Amino acid sequence: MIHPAFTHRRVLIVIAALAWAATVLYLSRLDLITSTHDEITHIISGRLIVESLTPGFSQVGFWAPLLHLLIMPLMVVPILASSGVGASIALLPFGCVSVVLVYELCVRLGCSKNVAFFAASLFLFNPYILFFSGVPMAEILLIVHVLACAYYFDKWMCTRSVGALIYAGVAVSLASMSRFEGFLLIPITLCLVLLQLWRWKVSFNEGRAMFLLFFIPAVFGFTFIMVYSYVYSEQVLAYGGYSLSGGVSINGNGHFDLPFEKTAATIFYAARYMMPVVFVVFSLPVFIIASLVRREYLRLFSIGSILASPIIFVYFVILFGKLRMVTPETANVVYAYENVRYALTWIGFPMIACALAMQLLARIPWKIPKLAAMTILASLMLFAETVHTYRQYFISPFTPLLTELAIKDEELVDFVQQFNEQYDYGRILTLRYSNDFLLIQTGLTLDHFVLEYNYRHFEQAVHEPWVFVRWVVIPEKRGSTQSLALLQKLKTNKAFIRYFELVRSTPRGSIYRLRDTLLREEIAKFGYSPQAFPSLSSDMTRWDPALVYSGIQRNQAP
Amino acid sequence: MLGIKSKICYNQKIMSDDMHIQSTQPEEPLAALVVPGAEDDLTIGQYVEAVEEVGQNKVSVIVPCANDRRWLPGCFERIEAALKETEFLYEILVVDDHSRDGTAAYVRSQESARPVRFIEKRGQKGRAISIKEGLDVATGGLIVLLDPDLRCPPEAFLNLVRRLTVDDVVVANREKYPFFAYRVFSRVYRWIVGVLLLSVDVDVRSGLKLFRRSLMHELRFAPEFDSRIGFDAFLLYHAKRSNWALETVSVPYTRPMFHHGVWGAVSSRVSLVVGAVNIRFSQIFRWLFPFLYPPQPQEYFEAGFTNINDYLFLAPEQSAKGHLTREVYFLIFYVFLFIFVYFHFIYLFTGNSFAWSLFFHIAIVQLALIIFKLYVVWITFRLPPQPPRMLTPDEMLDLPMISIILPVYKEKEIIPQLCRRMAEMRYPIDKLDFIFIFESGDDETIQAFLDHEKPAHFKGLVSPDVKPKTKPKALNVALRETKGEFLVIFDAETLPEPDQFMKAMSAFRSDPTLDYIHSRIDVYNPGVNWITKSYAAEFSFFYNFFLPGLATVRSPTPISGHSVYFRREQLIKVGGWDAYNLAEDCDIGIRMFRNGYKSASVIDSYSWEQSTSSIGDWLKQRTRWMQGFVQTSMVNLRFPALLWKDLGGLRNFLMFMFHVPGGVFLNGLNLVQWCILVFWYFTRDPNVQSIFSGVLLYISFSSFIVANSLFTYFNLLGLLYRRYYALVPTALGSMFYWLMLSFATARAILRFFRQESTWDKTNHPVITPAPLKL
Repeated sequence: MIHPAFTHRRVLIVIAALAWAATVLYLSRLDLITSTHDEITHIISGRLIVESLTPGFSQVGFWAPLLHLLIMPLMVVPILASSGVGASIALLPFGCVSVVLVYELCVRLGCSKNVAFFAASLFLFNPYILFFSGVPMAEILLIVHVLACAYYFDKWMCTRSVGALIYAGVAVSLASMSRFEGFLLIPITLCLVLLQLWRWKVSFNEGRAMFLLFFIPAVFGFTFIMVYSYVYSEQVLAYGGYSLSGGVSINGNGHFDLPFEKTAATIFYAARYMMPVVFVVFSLPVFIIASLVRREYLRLFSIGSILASPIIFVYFVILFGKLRMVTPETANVVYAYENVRYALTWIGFPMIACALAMQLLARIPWKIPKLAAMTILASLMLFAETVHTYRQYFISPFTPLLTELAIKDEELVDFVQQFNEQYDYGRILTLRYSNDFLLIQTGLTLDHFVLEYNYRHFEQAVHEPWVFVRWVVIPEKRGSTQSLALLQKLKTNKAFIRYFELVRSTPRGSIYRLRDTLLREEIAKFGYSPQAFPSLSSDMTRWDPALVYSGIQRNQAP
Repeated sequence: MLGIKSKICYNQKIMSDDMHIQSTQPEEPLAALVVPGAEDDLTIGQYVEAVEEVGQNKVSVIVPCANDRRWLPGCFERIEAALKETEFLYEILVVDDHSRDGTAAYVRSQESARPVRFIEKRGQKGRAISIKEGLDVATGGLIVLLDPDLRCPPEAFLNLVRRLTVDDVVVANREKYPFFAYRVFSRVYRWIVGVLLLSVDVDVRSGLKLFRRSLMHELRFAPEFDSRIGFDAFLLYHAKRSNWALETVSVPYTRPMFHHGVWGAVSSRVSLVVGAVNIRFSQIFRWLFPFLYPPQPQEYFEAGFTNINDYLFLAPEQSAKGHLTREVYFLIFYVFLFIFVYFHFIYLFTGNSFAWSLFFHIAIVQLALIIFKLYVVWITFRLPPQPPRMLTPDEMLDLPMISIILPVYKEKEIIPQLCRRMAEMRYPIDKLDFIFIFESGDDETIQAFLDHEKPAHFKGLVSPDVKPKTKPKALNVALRETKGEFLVIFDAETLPEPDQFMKAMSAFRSDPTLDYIHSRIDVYNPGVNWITKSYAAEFSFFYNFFLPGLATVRSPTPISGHSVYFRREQLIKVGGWDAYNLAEDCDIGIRMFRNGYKSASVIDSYSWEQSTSSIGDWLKQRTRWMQGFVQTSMVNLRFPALLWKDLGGLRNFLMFMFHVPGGVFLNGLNLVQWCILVFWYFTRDPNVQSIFSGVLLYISFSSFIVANSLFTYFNLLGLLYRRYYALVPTALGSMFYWLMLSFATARAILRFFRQESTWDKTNHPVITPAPLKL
């Protein structure tokens, strides 16, 4: 007799937590938690909210903000912030919940608990699910919220529970705050709600009421992002300091207007790296067959649409040239892999398809053929998953991710090392993104840096850096933002050259230090106090650019 | 416990139709003389009056004893010798302060031979407490305090008594001292304690004092009356302060010095000094902090108060009549002083400006209020669904009587609708006690009631022609005439569900500990315009998502003005409604809680009322409600320490603050925040930006924008819950509705401080309730 405490759900949670712990241990041993550019950027974004020259909401950044807000509380602990484990801890519950949601969704769809458990296990032991549950990346957040949306939406369709509809709306909102792929969930779910209401033949007033009830929480996340972007960048949709409307052309690589079939092929190959190919190939047919057999067209169509919405979004974004996805099979530029991980976020769809396939076989009326067919199918899936996992863990660990995102090249390591050798005290004027590795590897708290997200502080420091900062680090690569252009212009600024000396120049960037003796002599001529100049002060007092000049006039420290 | 006083006599206007209009009858006179210990049955005033009646010609000699057995025989003999030949009856009350020298046995042995009573002390040791206990049982109209050591000769009684015909208190002044040094010392001591500390030039240590029994009522409840500071000093001080006629009679000193030993003499003198100093400090402290000294509950009713209106009104301490009292002024002053000092310290230590500190703390309070509201909503969401409970056949046979009070004022058109609905209520007729209460002078409505064909058990009652003419005053009139175990009020335009009585009684039966029961209120004209729609949204949220949570957490709740089921006995105990409060429902909810009636529940039964449909009416109504909330806040906060104690500690005190003053605060603040937002948007003023930056910006943003959005959504949910699908889009405009509420609140606050408290009655045109198209 099984103890009542050992329910499938509880067992799944325990297994997920253990698997997560093992994965974090494994990833930290391989130094993979803070090894990629995006991971470091997310950590820094979360950390800047609490530890910046201008801490607060302005530091959330123009990525989908949920991850940064979630990891923010743990970033106040230096060891958790620098190691990235703080982010892993923050994501653990989401990893566990995502597994439970796969299980619950399968049960809702009529699968037996064992089949649901099997599908949830396949989901859990996908190496990339474990990977993204343990590193500071937002993929798992999107996956869990898409699954939650599908679960509650299905519950609403079956029970007409108002609470379920509200939860589905909240899940949509959180999904859109997790990653931009979540945006597509909004129109899809709104259409599905309308479709379902039409099918129920509710009155116009009731339909409008239900629609509003769902609409308000569903669009909250998207509205939040738009308002935030508008307030801080005066564009309704900004991404990483760039306008999304610019697409990939902002990188100077031109548009990649792929035709339909090539886009589909690219996504297919990318998905094949993220999960066993058998899941990719058979999931859609299984959904179609299940719909036909069960005669639950709208229900399975709704769940399928919701689960597949991230990959549909990716498909259209690639199709319209706003995103580039590259696999070795479709490589046409220097990269072997690029954005392959985007093909992971629809993983709920194939996993539910697995459960549906098993459930379809369970309808076979004869016991032995039924058991045989189910065993064969389960073995096949298990075999495919094992091979895939083994390959990703032991043959070429996370190659598609690391070759794309890893930034620990020798040049960069050398650059940081040289900076650390030179740095003594004072604030540093530099940029984010291209220098995130520098930010995290110097071991300095982030309020030492004057960055473009410090807005008017940054603008004033670029205007007259000798008043505000002791160090200027000008990146040499990546990006062509306005901020970078401003910074690079300094190299030709006469006053800058006069007050700053170049102490190191590497292919990744140039390091400038203030000629403080010269500056002290010059300000002495005007009778100003050096204490009034933030650039000559060794303390890290936060200054307000508006007050620094009046302080200099009155010989007061900022 | 406080109660409606029974000694009432007033003339009631008798209406022509005796069948339906009854007049309230005068009460029977006080039946019997009160015996000590039975005060609970009467008010203090009645007790005092009764005792005085029998004790006009009687002297009660109170002799506090502490191991004074050796003095007692002589003492008794000399008292007898002094009083026997006079026209006065007398009694000697010996209060034994735990003596161990056989005092008790001796006094008991004398009880049969002389008019002596032995009083066994119940309280702590001390002369003052002995005197107090003696006073409690004394029945004479004249009180003599006599020390048993006979330092002052009892023979001086007659002189003292004679003086008392014109004076209130007479003190025997010892004039002839045994020797010069003692006289000097006594005079100096008398000057310091008497003149300097107590402002009376009498022998403060005199062992013989005489005063009227009638003074005791005032004396007993004087704020400085503290047994720790001695009775003598207190009596003299209070006599001086109250301008009582205080006279002295010279007597010789008749005992040797130090007859209680040196230590006894010193300690008695020192304790008198300490007592006098205490009285002085207590008086100064009371003057400075009047809000810390609430009146005693018995003091609410004055002795011998026989005004015909005394049952209509609460005592001034409990009523909103006084508006801003001295206690409130002082409290406001200290709160502002504290804020000023506190903000100054913040400025000194952090450099933050006063404006920043002010808005920061306001934002914190606002956030706390909103979190509390969300907590209550969360509690409601967690409540399991309550399956309807039917009354069992046995319970059906034993249904309690319900009194239904229906206050009607200038609403003649609505009488037919009201009578019709009341006649439809499903409950045994013999268990229903309908009382329609009218204002005197509202002849049209009264005539309409008389003319209308109605069931025989509908009674009409006319309220006496006494101002203010308010609903709570009318309710107080009707309350006296009710007979039911339970009581409910319905406004004239209210339409309760026909089975609501059954549901309410079922709820009381299922939980006998319940003190009162709310029903849910809805509006029957929601579709008229935006105001009625928003009104419906507001009620949907409040009665479905907020009130059940409040009832569950046992919070002091501002209850509804109608459709609440009370236990009549409890209502009487709390003194009925406050005739001067513009939100009498809010006030009585809090007073019920203060009196320990905390258990409430919400039944799943609706009462429909009419929503105001014009901005003018709406604004008048909300201003009245909000002003009532301000009044209730001020009335209860006159004595915050007492409120804290009555409510039962910090939790409930905070809940009261959150609901009543907090509700006003939130509404008012909403207007301020809108003004700041609009001002900033159009001017981009850097001062606003510098104040609202960092943490303050986040807190204010969360409180203002997020909370407004969240509660807008709750309104939407409420409408959906009540299946008002057509009204759902209206809920999106809740922010503007709350803005209007803010205007009403601002107007209410203004009216409160201008001391305008007219009852702006809401107009209720007759509307035929029609189902809303869903």
